[in-house]
Amino acid sequence: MKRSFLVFSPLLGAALLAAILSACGSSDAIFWTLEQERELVDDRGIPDDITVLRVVRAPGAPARLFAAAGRVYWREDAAGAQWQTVAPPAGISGAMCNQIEYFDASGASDIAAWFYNTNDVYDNGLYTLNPGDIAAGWTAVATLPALTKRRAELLKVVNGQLFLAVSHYVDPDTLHALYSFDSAYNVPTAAVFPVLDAPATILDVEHDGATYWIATLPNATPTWLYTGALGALAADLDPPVMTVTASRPPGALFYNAGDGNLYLSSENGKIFYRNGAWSTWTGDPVQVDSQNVRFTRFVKAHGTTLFVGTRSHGYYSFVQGTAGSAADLTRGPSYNVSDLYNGAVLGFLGVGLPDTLFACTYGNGLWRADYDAVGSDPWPWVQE
Amino acid sequence: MPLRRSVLALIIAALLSLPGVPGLAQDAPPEENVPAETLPVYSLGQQCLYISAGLLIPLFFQSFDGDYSRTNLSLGAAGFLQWGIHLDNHWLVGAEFGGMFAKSLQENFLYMLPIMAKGAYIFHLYPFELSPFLGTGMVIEKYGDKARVDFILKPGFSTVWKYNTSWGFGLNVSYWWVPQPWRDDPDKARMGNFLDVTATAQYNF
Repeated sequence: MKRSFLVFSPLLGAALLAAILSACGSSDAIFWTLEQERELVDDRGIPDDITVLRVVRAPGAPARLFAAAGRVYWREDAAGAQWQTVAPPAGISGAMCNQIEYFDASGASDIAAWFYNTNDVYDNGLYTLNPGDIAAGWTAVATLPALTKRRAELLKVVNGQLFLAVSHYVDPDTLHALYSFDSAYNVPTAAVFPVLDAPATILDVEHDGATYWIATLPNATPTWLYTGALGALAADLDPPVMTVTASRPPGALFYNAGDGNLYLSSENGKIFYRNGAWSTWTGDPVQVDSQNVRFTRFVKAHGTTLFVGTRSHGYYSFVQGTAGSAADLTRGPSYNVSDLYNGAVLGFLGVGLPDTLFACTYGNGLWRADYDAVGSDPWPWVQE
Repeated sequence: MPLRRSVLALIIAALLSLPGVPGLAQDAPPEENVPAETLPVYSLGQQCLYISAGLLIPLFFQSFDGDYSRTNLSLGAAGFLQWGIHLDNHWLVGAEFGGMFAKSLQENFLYMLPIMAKGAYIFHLYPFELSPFLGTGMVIEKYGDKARVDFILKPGFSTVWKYNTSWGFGLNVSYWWVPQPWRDDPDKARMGNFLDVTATAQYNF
């Protein structure tokens, strides 16, 4: 009896201690999380370790998806469809693509893409492709301004126009210009910045239904945010709490008609929004491990949810009409989708109901989530 | 004196004590048969160390309502270090520290580190020792950037072949029961059930 007591008393003590420790807070239901896991891969033939800069969709019968990842990949927007490469344009040796857009203005319906020569980055150009006749190949846009040492910074359709931002060299300076093309690719219109300003890298262009907004990299010029008509842009007198710098610059602009807000992401852990005037971010910036999260580009999905990517912490989501502080933002995906949770999401493509989201990552390929209204996770991500 | 020599000496003494055998037992008075005492192998204060390594088999998760579900974990690996002290020839108490890892469906690793008190009862079936045991304590779990501490109950049995009085080698089989309550959402509370099968080396000193 005495010996059995000596045996069982430490066991009982250990059990009591363990019960106390386990009751002192729990971080997550780990077993439940494991139980809910699904396969992460839906292999569609696109490499898992590439950097996908952008993916766009060309509607049609069938609709087609195009991804810029150095090479250009395409596949049909259909279950089980496999990615294939698009032959690069013949006019550029070793052509690589770093910008792609679907230009759906009346009379266009093109895939527009910027290619450059890997051996000479200044040997480059803007090309278009008929998404319904990929075999016909790329056609160079002849009206592209002939600038010295030009390089593309942005290619984006805004307000029915295809905008191209380029850097170019005018001795002794590197300057930045913004052009807009119409659907016929006539000679583009150049955006006119305030006379005394020399804007730095053009980061994004957006239209809020009334006026254009252009975000640039902060530098020595008085401002980094411009607004107005393209022919007469003016500096925006942003509120001082929009503390963006050259090392923590603004990210992307996004106009959401659902709440009338113009959103601006930044790499200082904050998302600003404007509806008549810029609103102040309340409280601390969004941080992970004491580092401000660096936000990238937006997308809207499933009616009222906005997603914004980050450079190393997956993405965050918020309900439209909010995002005035860190408390409004929810990090995603679930932590056990670790490649995406800790990955760099450069941008998204949202495809309408039924919702499908694509996430373009740095070094982790292309991910897809088909909205699941009944599952434990409404956005179950798989790697294509 | 090594165990084998003790046994041999006992056999020789028994043979010499038979009637008609010249020798030591000539004048021993006739007695009723007395059963020979079992020689104790262990005594109070003797210590032992075990090192074990082998497979971990994730069995199933169970909700507190009784529903079973898959673990979505691969076969894993487990390893342990145990220290024990004998209370007598049969009872052993000690402590065990170990760890396991297994890969999930989404290619993340689950780590579990149990820290336990253990008690065992040893059946001596020379040259084997069979000992059922019970361990209880806490287990530190880590998955992704999440970590938590839970209670663990670990019954099992061990079979050891005694190579000599100091060394033994054998096999452990033990069952892990890890209840994981979750106050934020009781529907997500689960009990983890695992089995480990490990080879073990024992050193007595």
